[in-house]
Amino acid sequence: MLTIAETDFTSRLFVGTGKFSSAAVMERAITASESEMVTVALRRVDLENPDDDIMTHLDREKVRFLPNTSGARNAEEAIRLARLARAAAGTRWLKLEVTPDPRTLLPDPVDTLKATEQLVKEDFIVLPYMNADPILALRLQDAGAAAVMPLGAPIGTNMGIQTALQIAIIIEQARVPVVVDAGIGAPSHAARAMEMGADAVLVNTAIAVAGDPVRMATAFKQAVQGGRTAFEARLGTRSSSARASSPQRGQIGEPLDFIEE
Amino acid sequence: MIDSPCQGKNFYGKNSSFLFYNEAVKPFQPYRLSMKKLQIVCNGQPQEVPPGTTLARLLEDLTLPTDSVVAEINKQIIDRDQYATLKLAQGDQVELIRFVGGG
Repeated sequence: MLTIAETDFTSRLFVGTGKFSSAAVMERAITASESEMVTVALRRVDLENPDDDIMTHLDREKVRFLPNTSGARNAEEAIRLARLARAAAGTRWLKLEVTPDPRTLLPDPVDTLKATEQLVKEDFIVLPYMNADPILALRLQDAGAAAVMPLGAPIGTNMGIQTALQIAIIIEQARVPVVVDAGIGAPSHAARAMEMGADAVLVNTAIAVAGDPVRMATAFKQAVQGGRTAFEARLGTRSSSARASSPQRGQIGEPLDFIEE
Repeated sequence: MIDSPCQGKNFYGKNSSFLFYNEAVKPFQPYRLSMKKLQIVCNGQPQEVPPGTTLARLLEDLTLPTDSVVAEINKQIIDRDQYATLKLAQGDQVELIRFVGGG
């Protein structure tokens, strides 16, 4: 069972709610994913479309809200968004995102750490989105982050776990849960992260933009479960040379002395 | 007799008392000014609202629900229980924010 900030999760798949073609598809995909926590963003109300309200499509009895601070370019903006998110959702949970560069959307490590320190003081449950930097993971953990969310690849790229080596070190060292976030473009990527020992993954784009998002949500659910089970079952060691799977003894037509060896 | 002082000329004709329509106070036009609409900026768009408009009333006029919209006025988050009593002021920068899909 996954526990973050004394809250238990049966599912190790968190789902983002962006980029879905319709609210109805999003709703069905979340149900299919069996996820218990979904991310949401804060934006100005579109005064031309006052009825466009995502809250009417999400059942908070079933899924916990994890508001993000997407759009924040520095610590100050992230803190402002965090306070608004708490007022809007009545939750202390927060995915902290500080992305100064809109081209790469890579997180600013310095301002992410600063904002984490401040928001922990303000009693938020902070899950910072971070580059896959093992030292930064330790710094964020020491600052009071409830989990760390290293990226596999830049947001929305579907490039998979490009940071495997660093994520392995983060997992090895972390005392808080490690949630691999961003870049996961296929169920196999999610499975790989889970096999490596990640505590959970967060997937948005790969589900939302799939040909059939609802079925893709199911595929991710299965991949995360499979990867987790594999991790718990412990993978065999790797080898650079072949190790036969079939017995080498008793082969037909081989000389007796070979068999005796 | 002073229920609608902003009617101006008619009011002057009906009531000769300069207590309510006095040349000395005319430059200030206290009643006329109070009926002037307030200019606010809501989500970046300039808007005019009648004086005394509460935040709850603004949301109602915009057909927005009070339970899922959070309001920030001049960068101060407003508690939901203040929506009904908080009156907007001239020049207020109002941000009305809600959750949208995001990752």
